[in-house]
Amino acid sequence: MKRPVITFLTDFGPESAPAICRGVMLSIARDAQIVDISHSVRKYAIRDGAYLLWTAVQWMPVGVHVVVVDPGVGTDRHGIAIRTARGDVLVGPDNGVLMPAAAILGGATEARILENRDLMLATLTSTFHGRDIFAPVGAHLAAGRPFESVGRTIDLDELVPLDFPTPVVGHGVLETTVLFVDSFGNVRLAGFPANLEAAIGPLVSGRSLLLEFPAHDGTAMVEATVPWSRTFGERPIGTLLIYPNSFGHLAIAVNQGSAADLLGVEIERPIRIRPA
Amino acid sequence: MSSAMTRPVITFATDFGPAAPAVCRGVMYQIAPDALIIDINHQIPRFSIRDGAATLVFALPHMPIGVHVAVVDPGVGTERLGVALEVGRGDILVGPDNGLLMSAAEKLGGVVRAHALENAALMRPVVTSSFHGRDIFAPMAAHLAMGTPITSVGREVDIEALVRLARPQARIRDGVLETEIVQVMIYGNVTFAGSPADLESAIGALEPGRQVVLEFPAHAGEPAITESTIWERTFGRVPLGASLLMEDSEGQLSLADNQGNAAQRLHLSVDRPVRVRPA
Repeated sequence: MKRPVITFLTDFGPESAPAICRGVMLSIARDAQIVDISHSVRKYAIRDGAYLLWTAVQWMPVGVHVVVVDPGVGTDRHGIAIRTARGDVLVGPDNGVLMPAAAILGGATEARILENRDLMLATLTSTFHGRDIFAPVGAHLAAGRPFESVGRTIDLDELVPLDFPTPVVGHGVLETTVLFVDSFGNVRLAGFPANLEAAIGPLVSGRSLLLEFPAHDGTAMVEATVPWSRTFGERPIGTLLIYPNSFGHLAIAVNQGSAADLLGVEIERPIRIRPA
Repeated sequence: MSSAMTRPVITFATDFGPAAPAVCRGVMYQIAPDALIIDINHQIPRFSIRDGAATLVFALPHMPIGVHVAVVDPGVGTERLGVALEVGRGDILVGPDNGLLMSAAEKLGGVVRAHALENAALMRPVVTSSFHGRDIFAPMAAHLAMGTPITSVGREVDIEALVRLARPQARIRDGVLETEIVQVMIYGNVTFAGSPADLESAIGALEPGRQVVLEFPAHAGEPAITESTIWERTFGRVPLGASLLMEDSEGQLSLADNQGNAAQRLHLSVDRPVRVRPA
């Protein structure tokens, strides 16, 4: 028999909360193959959670994906399950965290509100819906309960949206935004090399590009001249490069260093890229 | 406990940090290759039996029935016993007899029998004085998960003789609840001994939005603090960064900041006394 897959992403951190949820899931779906995507999402950062899920889920087997980055736990925000065209089910709070992943899995085909108490733990708290609702509902779905059993449908238009910024292709300049900073300090941007080529022409390794981070939120303008590169080791240790990362997105790195620290930039910072 | 169809469950919690747990998992898999090992937490604050006990109370009721190994063992290699405790729910808890296992055992229906870990045939061939997690607890647990009866691990010991931790209690006074911090959680939420019912006995009915005052007397070099807050149901009911007093997911009193870190903001740590009174 094929083991059902449950992937699991939270901002719960290194203590026992993720394991407790795994215990709940395995009590319901003993044969489940649980893949922990990350439990180190920056706390309460719905966009970071959405980004990590969006970039990870395409490498996951078709299955149930349980996500908990949920600053609104216990308020009147809904818990939801979304079915995708690829055949996955996404389970989590209706705060946007699931939406980019749903899009990359072929798009949402149906969404339902989690309200069937039979699929939840007997006692519901106001502060740990990961354990009490999302983990058990996810496990029941993985164990074969029909999608329809979780609760009534909700219009896809009524779900809380979350849209990542998209790059603007100008004449000789690409305007985009920092989407995420990973634990290496690599600065991941919205957009693809094709967008940059549409703005400034062909990218060949070594081509010199000017990065401008306009003044933002009280921080001064930052500028750097950086070579287009294939990978980190093409450049001297400690120096900047701009490259297509392993997800195909534009990114800025320092070979064996932190580009975010060196440039002093954070998530959501606007950036312009032009020929140097 | 093991059957042909179901993989035996072993859960595992320690204060070991990053590397040693894998050595113990290796030992367990050699004995029980099909075991489903659930790592609960290996970052329990070092040597803190009390934090370890709180971790197990929080986690074990949600685990499948199985064998639960826990190692927070500042007395490793001394005369303290290693024990296997069978509990009412049908689980077996394995670890040092230092109080670590007892609160969780009560949550799982209470200890129905206890045996000392003595049978060298169920341990690693060489037992060191400093790594009983690897040499004794892991292999014993794996053998128990494979169906070795608890009676074979060693002599039965008197349940009354097992070491128990002193448990802080909230004291209900006229118009004030005197209690103390029993745990600081990962989000910086601070858990106090006592329940909302205890607080209501002291200060009357708790309605959402009711204002309360927490007085932390000077303690261990930290100055006295007074924190005015409100009783609420969950984090999102108060503004970002504001604090609230609430019932946590374990039914205990808890102070939290909405999307903040109350423990850091107020420099609070375990054992600190607190008085809760109406505003």
